[in-house]
Amino acid sequence: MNDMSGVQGQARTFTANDDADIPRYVSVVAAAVFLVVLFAIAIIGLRITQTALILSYAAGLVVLGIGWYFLVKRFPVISQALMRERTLLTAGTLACAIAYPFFATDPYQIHVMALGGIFALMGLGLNVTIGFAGLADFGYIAYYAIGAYASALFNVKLGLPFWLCLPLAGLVAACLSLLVAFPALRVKGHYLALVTLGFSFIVIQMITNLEKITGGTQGVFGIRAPNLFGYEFHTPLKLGTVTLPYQANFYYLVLLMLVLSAIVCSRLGRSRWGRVWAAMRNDEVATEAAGINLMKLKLLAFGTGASFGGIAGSLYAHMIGYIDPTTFRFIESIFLLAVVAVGNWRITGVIAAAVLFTVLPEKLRVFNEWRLFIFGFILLGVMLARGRRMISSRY
Amino acid sequence: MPLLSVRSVSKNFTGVAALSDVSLDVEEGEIVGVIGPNGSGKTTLLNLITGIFPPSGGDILFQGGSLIGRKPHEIAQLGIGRTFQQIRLFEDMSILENVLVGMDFYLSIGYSATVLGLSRVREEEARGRNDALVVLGRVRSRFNETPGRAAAELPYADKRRLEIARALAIRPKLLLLDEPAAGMAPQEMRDLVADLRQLNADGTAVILVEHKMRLIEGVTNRVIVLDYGQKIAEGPFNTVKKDARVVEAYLGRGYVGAGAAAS
Repeated sequence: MNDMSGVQGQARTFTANDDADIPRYVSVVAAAVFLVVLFAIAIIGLRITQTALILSYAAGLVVLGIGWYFLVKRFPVISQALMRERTLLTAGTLACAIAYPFFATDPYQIHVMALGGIFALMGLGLNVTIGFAGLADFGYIAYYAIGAYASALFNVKLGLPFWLCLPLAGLVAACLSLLVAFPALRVKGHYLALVTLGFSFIVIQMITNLEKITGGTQGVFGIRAPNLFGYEFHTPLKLGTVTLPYQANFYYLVLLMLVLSAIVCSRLGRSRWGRVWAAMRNDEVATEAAGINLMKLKLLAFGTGASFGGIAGSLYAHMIGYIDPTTFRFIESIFLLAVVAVGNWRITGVIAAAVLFTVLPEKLRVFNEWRLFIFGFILLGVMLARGRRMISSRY
Repeated sequence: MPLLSVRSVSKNFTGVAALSDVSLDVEEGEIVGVIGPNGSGKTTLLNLITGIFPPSGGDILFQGGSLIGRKPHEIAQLGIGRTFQQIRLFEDMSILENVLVGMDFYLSIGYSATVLGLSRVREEEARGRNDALVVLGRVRSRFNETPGRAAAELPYADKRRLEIARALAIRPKLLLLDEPAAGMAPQEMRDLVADLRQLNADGTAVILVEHKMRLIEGVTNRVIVLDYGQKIAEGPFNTVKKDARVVEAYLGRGYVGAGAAAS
């Protein structure tokens, strides 16, 4: 066995995953069992509704988690086997996500999951800006709002179809983000955080006050749902003998966008762009001395991140059919930062954290007022455990 | 025409003159040493050449064109590579990735091609890696055996070598080295001398800021001595080290005339 278990994080070499000394079929079976058990646990968790049951379920999860931790510590071969089957696990997770609506009891649950997917999409976008390029953006919600309003207004006022509004929303958000980024990027670190924070407040204020265009506090009504070759997204989805509620249409749309975004993120992260972003995050002076134009890199990171936010906003607007300024609260930017940090600046981590933090408050209404408190504690734990920022850029 | 021509350059930091009226030329394929006591303005000189901050007065020409007003990345692209006195590696990244960042300017794959995942992206990445391995081979080290190792884990001397390799990756015509031998053991220094001679033979000009006089003596064609921001001597090391002003700068007035200076 390659003795790499002591090496932290990504210092892993490229040989580490290739020579686990167990046969291939064993690790494949192990990965499949792992996935099925996890999916079952998730479905059970989503189905129970009584508070007492949920609490005991949560306690059970904690026990399972601790047990898993010691099991893996005692038999590191388990995690090596799972690491080797990463591709299979990713494909399996996607299959589970596709299968999910068939296991859901309540259409509202599917709706919540779609919202979680939109949140995850935003998390991935913010991760490009802050995780890849190391640019602190504390006003990410602005791009979400811009995308939602752009899409809604294109649809309601100009009558453009959703399929045109969606890319336009991403484009508008990216362009407006560059408008603020160009002057803002002269400042660094926490100053940049303040500028972006200010920008998000300006955007929300403008949306509230430009009543002629945005409808002010009244919001925008009657945003039409997508229509695919005559198929209305507000009609139930019939698949052979099974009929899924109409929420499943939106769920699959969000899932598709999320998968596409994850692919784009993973490509960027592994490319020369991810590499020079990581370099810039490490040391701007040395990156510049290597002949790299920092301004161009920063604008690319800002624009890409914002376009994800804009697309997420468009999805939200067309799914709900109505938006107003209260949808886009400043605190959501902070939640998103927490999600990105808890997700450890990794694509899968960010998606998992985003879905978890959308589902949890819905599951446990008791948790709702404690949400920030719990977030704070989890964030503290993550920072203590992994003080240094890391990114999944591989050799 | 000299490769680099620094013409009566000055730099003031809020009233303190870090450099005043310093001129020097570097010809193609030359190794020029810059020595002087701590705080004499050596690193400031390198920072002015690489555009980290602008000079208060004077001009800097590279291949006949002025560098004043150009951004650091533009100066690097023109062919001036550098290392830093305080090592500035990308610690999170592997040995090979550090060099690949230096080569990035030569990669042609665009942003949209990456997003779309075109097949030539992979091909060029593979080619880039091969080129980076070749660059790693230009410094005497064992980098090629473990190119995936994290830069943060490297021993001190290897970090200095990797910084040189990263600077070489931009294919510099002029390489600025800021105390490359700091903290190196004798054998490591001999390797460094051999590396410098080799890349000089390949046609790279070098400005070497260094305190270790054995290295200066071993590789430079010429040295420039700075003291309190002023050039006090210039010439071959063996002549300069007998110069009365140089001896005074290093050892104090009482030693002038005593003979062997900083050796």
